[in-house]
Amino acid sequence: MTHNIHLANAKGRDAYVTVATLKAKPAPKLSMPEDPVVFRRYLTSTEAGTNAALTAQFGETYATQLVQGDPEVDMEQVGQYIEHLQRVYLDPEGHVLTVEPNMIELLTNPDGSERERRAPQDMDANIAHALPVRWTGKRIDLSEAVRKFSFKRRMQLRHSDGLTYEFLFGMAKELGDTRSVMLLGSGDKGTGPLVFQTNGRPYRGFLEGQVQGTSYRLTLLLSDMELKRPTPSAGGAA
Amino acid sequence: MAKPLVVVLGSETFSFGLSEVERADLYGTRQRLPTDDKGRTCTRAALTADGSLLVASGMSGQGYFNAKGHYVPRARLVGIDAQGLVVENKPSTLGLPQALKGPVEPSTLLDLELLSVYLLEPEQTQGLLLERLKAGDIYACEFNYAASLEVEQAYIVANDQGIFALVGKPLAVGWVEEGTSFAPPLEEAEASDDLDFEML
Repeated sequence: MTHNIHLANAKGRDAYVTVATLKAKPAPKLSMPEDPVVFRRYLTSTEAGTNAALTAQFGETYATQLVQGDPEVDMEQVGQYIEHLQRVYLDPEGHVLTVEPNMIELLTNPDGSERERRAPQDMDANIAHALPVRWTGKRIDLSEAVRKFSFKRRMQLRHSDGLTYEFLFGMAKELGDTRSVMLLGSGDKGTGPLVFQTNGRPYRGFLEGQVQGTSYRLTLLLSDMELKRPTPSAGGAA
Repeated sequence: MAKPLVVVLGSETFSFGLSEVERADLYGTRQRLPTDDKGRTCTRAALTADGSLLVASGMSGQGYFNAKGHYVPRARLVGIDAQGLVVENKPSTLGLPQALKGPVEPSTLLDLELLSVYLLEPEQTQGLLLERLKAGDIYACEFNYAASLEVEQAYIVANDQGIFALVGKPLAVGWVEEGTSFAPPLEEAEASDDLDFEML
């Protein structure tokens, strides 16, 4: 996936450039050489065939009914492919809500216990905002960074014209020469996380770069986790 | 319990117990829950396009079907790569000694599409590998938690919190040439099929 990113360098010069997610080679697919298959979702039971419905219908004779017949299978419906589904919500009694549900945000601790319930806090995308994503000045040796953070995604920055080539090449050279990564930040203070889409996962972003002749590689490393030992008492913002 | 990760460095063999570490284990979770007007938590379900069937949790399955619509059990399927060639199943590497490569450059670790992070608990209390890891060296080996169609790569690193295996698939990062230009992605409005004749 390709995005625009509004990026400022160490001198505060800013530009819009493109950034694309790097992906590994796709894994082999499961199939049959002479008889290709497709992966599909299908119906295994109707509402009347669920355990709860059958228990209510047969009561004491439930087990006997299962032995003597197939009351759990609706031969007309079960097995059909299901696709193009519309999302609905069910209340605790199993009735479909006819109005939009309210949403709450549930925060849990690392041990799974509930920490807080609150009104959902929307988080806007901020990488192509009027305020550029900025170099924070916090430089970390590459050898330390790879042993401190788990980099979940890597994205490559690319120029769109001669000016943005100079802009990105300069950054890649500076980072390559110092064998370090630079923490990026968003927002007014330039310290916030990077959010690529509204209510998407926030990431800490680090720029890493190298040059070779007139070519460069400038990549954005995204992390949402430190390399830490889990402890029952560990806490922090989710 | 999973078999240990067994690695070989020089003439020494080391065993590590391993447990996966996820973000939720360190920081907890944040999730949005739907509630009804009485504040009770609701569950998600689906309606078919014609509204005739409600599909709630436990009422659907997924599987492989051939062109005739017949269900094909997973055990009869084989791996097929992008060239259409059959790929052999690769066994789990756990419990089997894996030769360590390295120390590798820290930048090598970035060429990885990270899939899992494991905390490693060494069964030995000392040895060359543990000393080198503490000194900041990084080692690599092949890794497969369970049998699958491809073997993944593990990088073993250490910090003051412990020893970790970062597991994933190799990632190729190309150089960007000076003369290459990349058009920025179209904004949604520009990509729309609707043509505005008002502005003419």
